[in-house]
Amino acid sequence: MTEASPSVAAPSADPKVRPELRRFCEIVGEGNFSTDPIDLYCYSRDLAPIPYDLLYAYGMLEPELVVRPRGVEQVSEILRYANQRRIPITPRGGGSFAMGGTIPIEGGVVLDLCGMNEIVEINGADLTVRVQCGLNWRRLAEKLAGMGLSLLAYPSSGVAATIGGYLGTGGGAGIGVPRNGVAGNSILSLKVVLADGSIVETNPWDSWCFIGAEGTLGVICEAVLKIAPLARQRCFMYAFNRLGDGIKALESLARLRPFFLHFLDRGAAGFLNESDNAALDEAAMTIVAAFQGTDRQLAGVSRQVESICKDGKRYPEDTAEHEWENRFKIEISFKRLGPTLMLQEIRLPFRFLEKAMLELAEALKDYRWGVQCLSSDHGSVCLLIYALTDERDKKRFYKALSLARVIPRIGYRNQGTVYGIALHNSVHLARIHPRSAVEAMRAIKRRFDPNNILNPSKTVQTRVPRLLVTVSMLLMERVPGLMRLGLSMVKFLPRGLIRSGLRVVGGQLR
Amino acid sequence: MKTLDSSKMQEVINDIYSCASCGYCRFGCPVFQRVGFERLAPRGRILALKRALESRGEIPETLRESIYMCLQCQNCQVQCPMSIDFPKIALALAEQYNEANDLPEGPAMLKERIAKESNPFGEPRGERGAWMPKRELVPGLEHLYFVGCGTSYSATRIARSIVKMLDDIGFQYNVLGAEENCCGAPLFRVGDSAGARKLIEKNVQKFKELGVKTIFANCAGCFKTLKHAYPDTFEALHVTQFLMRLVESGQLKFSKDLKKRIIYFDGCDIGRHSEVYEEPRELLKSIPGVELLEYEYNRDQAMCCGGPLLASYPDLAQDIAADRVREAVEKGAEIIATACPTCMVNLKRGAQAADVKIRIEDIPMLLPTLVEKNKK
Repeated sequence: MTEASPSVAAPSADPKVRPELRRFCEIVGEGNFSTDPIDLYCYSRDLAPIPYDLLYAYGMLEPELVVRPRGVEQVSEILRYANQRRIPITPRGGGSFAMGGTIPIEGGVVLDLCGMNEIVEINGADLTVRVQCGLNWRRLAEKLAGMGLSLLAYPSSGVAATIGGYLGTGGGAGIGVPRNGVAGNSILSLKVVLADGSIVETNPWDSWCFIGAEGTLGVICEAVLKIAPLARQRCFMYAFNRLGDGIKALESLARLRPFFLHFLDRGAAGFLNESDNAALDEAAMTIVAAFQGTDRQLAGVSRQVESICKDGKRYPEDTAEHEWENRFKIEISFKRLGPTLMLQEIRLPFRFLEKAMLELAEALKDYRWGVQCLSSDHGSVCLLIYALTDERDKKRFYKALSLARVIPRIGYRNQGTVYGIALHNSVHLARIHPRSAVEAMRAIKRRFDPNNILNPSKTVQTRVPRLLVTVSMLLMERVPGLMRLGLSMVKFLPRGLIRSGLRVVGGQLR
Repeated sequence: MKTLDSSKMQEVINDIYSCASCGYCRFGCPVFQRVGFERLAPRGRILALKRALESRGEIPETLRESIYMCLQCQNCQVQCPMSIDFPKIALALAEQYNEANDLPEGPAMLKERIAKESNPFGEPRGERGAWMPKRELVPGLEHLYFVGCGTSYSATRIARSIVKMLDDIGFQYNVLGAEENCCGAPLFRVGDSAGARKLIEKNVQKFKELGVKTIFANCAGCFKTLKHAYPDTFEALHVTQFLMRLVESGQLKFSKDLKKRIIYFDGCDIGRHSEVYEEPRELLKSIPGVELLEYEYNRDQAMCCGGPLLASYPDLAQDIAADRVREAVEKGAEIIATACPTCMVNLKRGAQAADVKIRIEDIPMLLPTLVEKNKK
């Protein structure tokens, strides 16, 4: 075809990088860094629709640079230099978590690890795979499936989530977890870059130090995962009209160690019917389970499942299969009905599930809401609680933001906890872990990252004092209009003043 | 253009606010997969738009480039849990850039060339039919072969193959030659839908004069436009659909075999936009000896070759195509068969860039030597 117009220069070439940060650009090379205003804004966000005013009130500094390293050596150089200059580094994977872990709240540099996405080695004989941590889970799962192999545990958000992101945020719930345990169980080794730039290769036990550390202790760059031969599988789907029956069945099914265990409550099934023409029974609980094994084992499981679910209505096996095939399609098509979705995740023991569901129904009675769940290990469930709102209706939206206080409290009351801490839940640290554990975690952080450059003001550092957050949340719940007005005024205050104010009242800013 | 007119975005505003920022779109976005920065992924563009809508419409300067770098391949919509039609959002914005007369260099040049010569390459209008031996238009013939700009001026072997094959079996049809206008697809992409509609009117006028009932096009972009933007009084077919009909009716038979491992490349305009996945495969399978292979990601999951950026960002388009060529080689293919001249041309450039020797042919080009002649 005829040449029509000249090529346009690589868009990320930008001479405006501050001299102190130019070294980062040299390390990653042309085309692998950006100061584009759209990028700087996008890399300051994650899944949660947090209003910009609120982040400003948190004393957020804007990131100055996004870099995409191409290998562990580059990450090492970046951290060594950042450590010398005390420049904050926020590691980022797919950006599909909602707890603010990837928000560069202290400014500095965002370390986008998605450029490190190679499968280094698949060892079918030893059943291991070595991957770079910016690879996404769906790609790895599909590559392995093509070779007759399977992962042991992976996230349902695997189309976006990266290996490092899932491990960094704990990997506590997902596909394969009810059978094989949390994602950390399948880690044989991690290659991690520490704050001073040193590269360590962990053994399976040391790996736990970095799993769930949300990028505050080191940057996970490579992982060696255990894998398994792809097994035969059968899927089942049942609807229960009584919540109690559904929960009883769920608990018994979990004991059979399914590879995949998922449920929808009435609200979530209704949402899917409305937005997706899903033709589901709007039952109190709809359970989908997938089991793996030999034909003989599966025949035995099938009999047990039938007996456990005798009070439920069985869906045809192809409908259940379809749910399994769609396991990566996080079922949030109904977000359109909002169109803003408030999402909270809590983890609970089975025995408190019914009580928590009733409390959720009471707390969310003013909303259109629903619950989906991915079963975790050790008899617990991870609930994904959805409430619809519309961020364009600011008053309604600010009220909905207060669910960030209400829903975790339901979790705590029911022997549960939140799923992930990062920025938004760090305020609840004292409820999540005993004081001694928090102190130990803070000591570890100081030891690993004495200059506090790695994802600062997250996880073990309570950025905004709890009392202030509690009062703000209460105000959002009761007088959202006033809170909105207050926050919109805050943005006229200089950042420095806000940050000094937060420090005075005990906030842990860098 | 410095500010966004939100009143002109009403049709897509719910889509913008429905985005969950989950990042699923990035999985299927070839531009993002290559360049790697969020501003070039649908999620990033939507975040920037949302911010603009909430800050009195002020838009960053770089949004324009980001919008025009969208391939319109629609893979993001397939991956999106909310099925957000990002190409539609991009086009709504492109309309505003076009109205503000603020187009990037490539699209502006393309628009100018179409206005002057009715093709995006600025080739002389009168030479549009130069590839074919002189033939008269016959009013009343049911079928019309719509050749398209790329095939008329550049990938002429495809057109010659189709004409030879149909003449060999004695099939009667019209070709407009110099009287054919651009189908309008490039102008829709630029954001000039009014200009595209004018071209459509001109073509429709010709179709009516000739009494055409069925139009077949080998260019997937033309086919998509004929199918979706033209009046449905004409049946629009892709040439592979049309040829498959001839195979089924026994009018087209293959007398020779082709012992090759062929991988079919699903173009976006014929695939996701028009949902034609099976006929090109059936046609290839109907050739004796062909072993048909599949890409890892095929049909609605197929990754775009980058072809739509061939004119404005040739290096990026070529790099994306190189990825598709490598994937085909990994599957053991000897031939990549396309159903769109832009895919073919771009994949050939990709093969050069990847330094891979592989045959890349549009499906009609594979056929003429295999067809059993039936001259009346």
